[in-house]
Amino acid sequence: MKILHLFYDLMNLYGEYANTLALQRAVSEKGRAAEIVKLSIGDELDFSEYDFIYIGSGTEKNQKVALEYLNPYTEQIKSALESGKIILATGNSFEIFGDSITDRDGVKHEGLKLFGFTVTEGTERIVEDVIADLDGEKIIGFINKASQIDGVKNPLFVIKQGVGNSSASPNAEGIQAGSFYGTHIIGPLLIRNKAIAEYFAEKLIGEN
Amino acid sequence: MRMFFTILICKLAYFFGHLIGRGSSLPGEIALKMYPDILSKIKLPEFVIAVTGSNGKTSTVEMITHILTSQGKKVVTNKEGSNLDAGIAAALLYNCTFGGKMKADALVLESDERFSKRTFKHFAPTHYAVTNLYRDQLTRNAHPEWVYEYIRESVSDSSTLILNADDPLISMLGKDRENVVWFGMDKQTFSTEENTAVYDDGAFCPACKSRMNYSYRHFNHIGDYSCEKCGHKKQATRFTVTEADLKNGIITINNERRIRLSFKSIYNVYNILTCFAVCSLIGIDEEKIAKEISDYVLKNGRVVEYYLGTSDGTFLISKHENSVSYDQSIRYLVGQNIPCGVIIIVDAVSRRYSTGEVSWLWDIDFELLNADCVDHIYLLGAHAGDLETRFSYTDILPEKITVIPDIDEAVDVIAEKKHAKLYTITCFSDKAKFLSKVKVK
Repeated sequence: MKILHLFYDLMNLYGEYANTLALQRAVSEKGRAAEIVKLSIGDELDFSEYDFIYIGSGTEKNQKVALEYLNPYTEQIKSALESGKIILATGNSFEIFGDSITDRDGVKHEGLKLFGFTVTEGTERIVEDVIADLDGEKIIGFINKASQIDGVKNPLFVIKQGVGNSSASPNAEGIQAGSFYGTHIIGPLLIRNKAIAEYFAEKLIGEN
Repeated sequence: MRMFFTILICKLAYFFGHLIGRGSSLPGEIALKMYPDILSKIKLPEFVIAVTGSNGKTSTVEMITHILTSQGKKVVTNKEGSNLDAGIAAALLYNCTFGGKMKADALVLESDERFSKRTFKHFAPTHYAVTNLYRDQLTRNAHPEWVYEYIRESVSDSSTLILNADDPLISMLGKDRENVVWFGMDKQTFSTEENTAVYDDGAFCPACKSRMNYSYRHFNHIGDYSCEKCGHKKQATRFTVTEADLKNGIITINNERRIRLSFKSIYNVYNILTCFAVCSLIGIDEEKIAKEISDYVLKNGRVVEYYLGTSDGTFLISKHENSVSYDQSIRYLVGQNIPCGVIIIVDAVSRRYSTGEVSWLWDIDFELLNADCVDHIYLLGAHAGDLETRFSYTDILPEKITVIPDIDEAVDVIAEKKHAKLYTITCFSDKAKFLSKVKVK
């Protein structure tokens, strides 16, 4: 089983790499082995080689670099998702899969357009501890972002305490569409919420 | 008249604040409310020195103040922790005549990296030193590039910038600028070709985001870098640590000034170098600077010696939410190579705000504690469980680790153990919780 840690040295804030370690451990506790492969700018990408693709948080500038790099791979990402590959994008990395990101200077960056939401970055930082709900499971973590995300049709979490995708939808956080999971909750998410690591581990093993 | 009253009120508030033991920022807050522009009306001394950056501000300001004072100069400085605009206003106005003239030869200011642009909107430092930008208090600072924008907006054309040439992000401040003085360190025996930290903030050029090349690194992203694409690179340095012998605690600046270190860490070397550059630039004789700073022991309580049971201990202040600061303490104690027990306390993440954010634990290189000299590790405080999880992802054997969240209870347990040496690593927010339970030397 292979976990791809994409942009491990570009989208590497907030100890996010530990999400891949938590998943690897959860898989191994179920008696299977998962290998973590690290790839970044300059590497050829073939998403069909991996069972799980993870991307973490980065600076606003690095996010745009990641977006530009993934652009030629858009069709490949779509077919990977259609074939059931899981993508987990935490922090601002999930924003690049939307329609567009307008940065703090007002410049609009076209997204990968897999989903219809739009992102607007500001100059104020939104920093808050959060408690969320996922099908009755209490999820804890922290949000550290400068963006409003509007137009998400199918959010991942229900916010119980803290901020959501935008001031227009304060109780909805992240996105889930098929096997794509995006959230701004850091922690790292899978370290502080073992249930999520186990959920993905079960999905991975069930499919193999 | 407005200035007179504002200064009077500020001085009175300062005086009564001291009587009742209140902080030193409140008089400044009052003054800025009464007269928002007052800082721009003050007649400042000849030298206005400011130090900002993530790490080393307090130590560097203390050393600059020490040297200038030793040379007979009257120095006004802001107290530790009073580095926001109000704290700086209080320090200035308290030391003013009622006519608004400062009674000092030099003003030496520690300035918070995010508040600098507010403070220096009113007046520009003559000498502005920027030490470094690391991941620091990300719950309020977001990330280094975010803070960089604040610092960039705080820089005036008139200031002489004194910049760390070894930090690629800080060095961006000096692009296309005449009045910059660079400091840095040549390659040393401890320098490495590869990044050795948990994460790499030097992987990409901060100017053009191409991959960065390093010929060597001293630690993290600090070293000799160059970008092939846009040409951003380490600049030639006017003040240079040409040799740093950390084992014997001697450094040489510009091949001629030898300085003995009371604290043998690479981070201390940078603080001394910054201090040396600033003092030299304002005309202090370099031989005198070297003499005064040699063996200088910082008084800011960052290192405290103590006894616990039969063990000798050293307390190393390490900032929570600041992996470089933790790495520094861990490298230091492992470098001493004395069989030891290590106590790590994370109780309150911050003294300024309440948060359960502990992602920064994953940026610390705890694997370094997997060393022969480390006999045992004690994990203490409300976040002992988070520390335990973090350590479970290192190769350190579980039997070497004891987890005791209650600090009082832990101190009693550790007092019964025999360690040749103890080291305690924690932050200001948790310092007293431990030091009040042990015998401070």
